[in-house]
Amino acid sequence: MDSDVEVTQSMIHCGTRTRPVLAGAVHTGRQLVLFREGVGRMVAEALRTAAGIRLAVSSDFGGSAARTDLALGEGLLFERVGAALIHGDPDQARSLACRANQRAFIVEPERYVRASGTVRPVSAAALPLGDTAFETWGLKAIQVLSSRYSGRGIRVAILDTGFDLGHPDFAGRSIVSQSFVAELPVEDANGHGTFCAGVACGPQQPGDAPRYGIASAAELHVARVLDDEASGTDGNVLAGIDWAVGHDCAVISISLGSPVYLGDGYPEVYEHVAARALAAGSLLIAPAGNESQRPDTIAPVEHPANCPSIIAVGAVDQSLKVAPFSNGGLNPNGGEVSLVAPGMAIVSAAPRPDLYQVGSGTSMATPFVAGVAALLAEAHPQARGAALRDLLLEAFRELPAPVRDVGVGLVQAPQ
Amino acid sequence: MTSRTESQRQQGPDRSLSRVKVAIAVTDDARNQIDQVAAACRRLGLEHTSTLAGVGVLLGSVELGDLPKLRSLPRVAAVEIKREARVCALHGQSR
Repeated sequence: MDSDVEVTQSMIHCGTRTRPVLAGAVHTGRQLVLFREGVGRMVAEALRTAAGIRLAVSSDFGGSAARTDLALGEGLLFERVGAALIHGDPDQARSLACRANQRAFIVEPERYVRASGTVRPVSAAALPLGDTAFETWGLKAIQVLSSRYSGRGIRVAILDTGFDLGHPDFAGRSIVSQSFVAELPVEDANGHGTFCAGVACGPQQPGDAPRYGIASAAELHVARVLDDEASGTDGNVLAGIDWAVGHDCAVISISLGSPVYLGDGYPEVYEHVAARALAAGSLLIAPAGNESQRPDTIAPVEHPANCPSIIAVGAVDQSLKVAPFSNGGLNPNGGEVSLVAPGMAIVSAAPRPDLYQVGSGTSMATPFVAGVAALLAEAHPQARGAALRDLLLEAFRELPAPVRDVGVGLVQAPQ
Repeated sequence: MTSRTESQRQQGPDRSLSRVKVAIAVTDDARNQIDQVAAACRRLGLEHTSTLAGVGVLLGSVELGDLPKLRSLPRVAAVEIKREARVCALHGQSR
């Protein structure tokens, strides 16, 4: 019988994944315990008798919402989703799960969720959003204009088709650049890279367009990894990541990818690289991909965004609905959408002589998230790598759409 | 006896068909010994083009048939055939 088993330190750690307490995250002091699917009443009974925790079951509350104002030593089991909320210390939570013989689970501190606590969300009545004389609809949707942060002191790398180094909107800005494409300069003959750099790091007051950029004071680092036809190889991309990590870029935006099939795993080399980048203080952000044709077809999140250590960004339109092309979280183990950002009819910078262009795609959504990550990095100087990633995933507005399509929700700028 | 790698190298046109570009991640504990890992990979047929020391990756090309040998090397965490990446934009137009 499970409850007869003596809980030892080694058992507590066997099969248990404990999420670390994150720098910058605000925790309630309670613990969330996630169990394997299929946990039912029998396990609930075992949990009730274990470790002295008084455990209620949410379905016992009938049609009314279960109370979650737990006293110390109390817990609440959400059996339908296979999770429990426990007001005790982490060891107590692990002990509970081990006694119930549920080895595949996660214990993590419960956090305060701030979907709209620090920002004023765009009201539903204001949808669909449109560009104004002062800002593009995308900046309005993610609350950039009211943010007090500008990315000052933060290095943001854009790995793409290069950049128009002479663009007048970036005059006087410090830009570090490097081409990893043989025989091609950093100068952008395609426009995609200039677009992405514009969204992530464009100025507060552009010359002849509404404001389109987010981290206006960030230190822009441009790595050209794609050719004039906007394609390249993994080798160039990995070289660009290596360069950006070496330049201490807190944020690395890579608006590129290649399709995967349903059931595919993530690329191991990229995952190693992304995890090492995180450990070195650099957060990678990549697009979910544009292979879907909603509502008929949803394609899985692409490579390399399907790596667990890379933020995968989906796209929404001006009504904050999932863009028809935006890929979904169909594959497990990293193939989920992390969050979404504006990705339809986006205005940004273009290489001279055009200066401005309009684009759509998860490529366009990705630098929105990169720009917000730079604002967060400025707001939380100690949060880098995994800590910055976790802050980013707490800075969202909930959307009425499946997690499969929007992850935690719409990214929001810190205020 | 000529090894498979050596024989294929001598075969001109066939070589380009069977040779693939690869990215090799070394294990975490071997990142400060990446040059030694590169040397071991070269002995197994890797045409080594660059080392990304900051993230612990070797780039190069290899005969397709030599991939399993590379993957089984100590201090090699992963070997993957490089693929083409392209942007995730639908269209763009001047404003």
